Amino acid sequence: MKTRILAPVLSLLLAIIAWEAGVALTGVSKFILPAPSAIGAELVGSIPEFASSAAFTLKITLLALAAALLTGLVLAFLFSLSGTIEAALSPIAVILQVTPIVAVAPLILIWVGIDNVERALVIIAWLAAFFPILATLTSGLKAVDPALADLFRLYKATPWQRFSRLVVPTALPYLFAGLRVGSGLALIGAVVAEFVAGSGEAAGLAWRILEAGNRLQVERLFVGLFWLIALGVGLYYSVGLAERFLLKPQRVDKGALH
Amino acid sequence: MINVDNVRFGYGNEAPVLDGVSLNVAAGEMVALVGPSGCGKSTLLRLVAGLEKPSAGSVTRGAGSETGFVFQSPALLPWEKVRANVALPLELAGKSNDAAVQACLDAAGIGELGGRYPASLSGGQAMRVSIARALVTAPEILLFDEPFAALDEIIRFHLNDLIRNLKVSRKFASLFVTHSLYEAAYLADRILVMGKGRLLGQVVPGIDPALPSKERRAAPELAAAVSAMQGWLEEAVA
Repeated sequence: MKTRILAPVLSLLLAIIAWEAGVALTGVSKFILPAPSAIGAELVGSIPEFASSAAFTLKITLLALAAALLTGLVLAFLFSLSGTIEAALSPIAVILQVTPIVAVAPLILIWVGIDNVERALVIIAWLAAFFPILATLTSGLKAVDPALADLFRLYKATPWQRFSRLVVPTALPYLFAGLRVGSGLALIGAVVAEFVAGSGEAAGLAWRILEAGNRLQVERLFVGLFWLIALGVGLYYSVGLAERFLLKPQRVDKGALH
Repeated sequence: MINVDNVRFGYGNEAPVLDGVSLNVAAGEMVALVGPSGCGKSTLLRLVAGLEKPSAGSVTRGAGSETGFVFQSPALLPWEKVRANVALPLELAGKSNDAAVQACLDAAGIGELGGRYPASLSGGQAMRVSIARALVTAPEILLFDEPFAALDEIIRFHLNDLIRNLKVSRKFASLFVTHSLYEAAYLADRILVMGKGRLLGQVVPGIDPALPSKERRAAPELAAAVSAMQGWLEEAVA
């Protein structure tokens, strides 16, 4: 277990040392590749600005994720009730999925973003996160073990008992798989949306990166990336933590087989 | 206790899975159904359980009689502990009876496993939980659908003895589907041999019920019952 934590930390540390040494030895311009120490100094010095930008991007991401979860839940539930509804609506969901969000973002900004950029950003990020949640939940709601389904029928379970005691617990791991993918995509969606929206009211991390790029402040560009990575990793592991907490029983004993 | 009268069953326009099947199981009697894969024995069991409706003929169970079902897989809820799994049939009926749950766990030989999750159980233990769950409503009828097919032979022997003991103590009528001729001869009072959706014949092993486990497995009547079943089955193939 120790090596599982130690190994990646060490390899990362080695990479940073090699980077620092490489920059010092080659004398590469800081406008191309700044040294990690310079980036570190910029990171510490810019915490107030970047923290508020990160909070903005996180807010967009979480709102989009919540919307994706809600719409995914409702649609997947409708799909599980009726094949006709699924046949009618799933092509639309697929169309939304395969259309690159960068390509639809300008349209959404025109439709709903002129008076309220935030709303447009949330919708764009929602578009990115929605499909994986819908897709995994749809399979989750259909993944009930046929023998267990028979068991519930045999003992004349009511539809509500079947749903709450069998269908929902079966679908829960699928929901978390969808959330894991969806949380990352919501963040990407939020960043893309900010990029397309450009300056103006939006003041998230992507906008900071754009600004730093335009001013050739490469250290700040890296700082922006660092914050984005931190957000993404934090989201991913938050979902993982919630999953471990909620699905504990199914996992705890797995290692103890015999 | 179980009465199947001239039952026919099929899917759509395909040839029927069951055609003209009739059988009776008396109270406290254990009847085994044997036959090759796809002969319709599991379908027959599902009809008796009420999980399928016959296209023609009738299936009746003793009035008001509870039915338990033991599936091929243990079919446990992985997110519930053993005790909650066993209590499930009661709970679905809006009842609760902790004493009955513990009594069934004890009867299945797993009295100390109530607090474990299914993932931590061996295959044999999981099947015992499944049996305990089937017993919890004190059923007059128990249906077994090849429950031990996936288990090691020694564990299978132990569970066979468990079923024989439970049959005496709990006095249920049962239909036991298996593709093991030996298991059928060992367990059942009467064996019905099936082939291609029909009953081919009946074998009554008639082994002295007082014989202990090992002697019972070596009884000449058991071998005779197996070869009688073999006879019916080979005749059907020829």
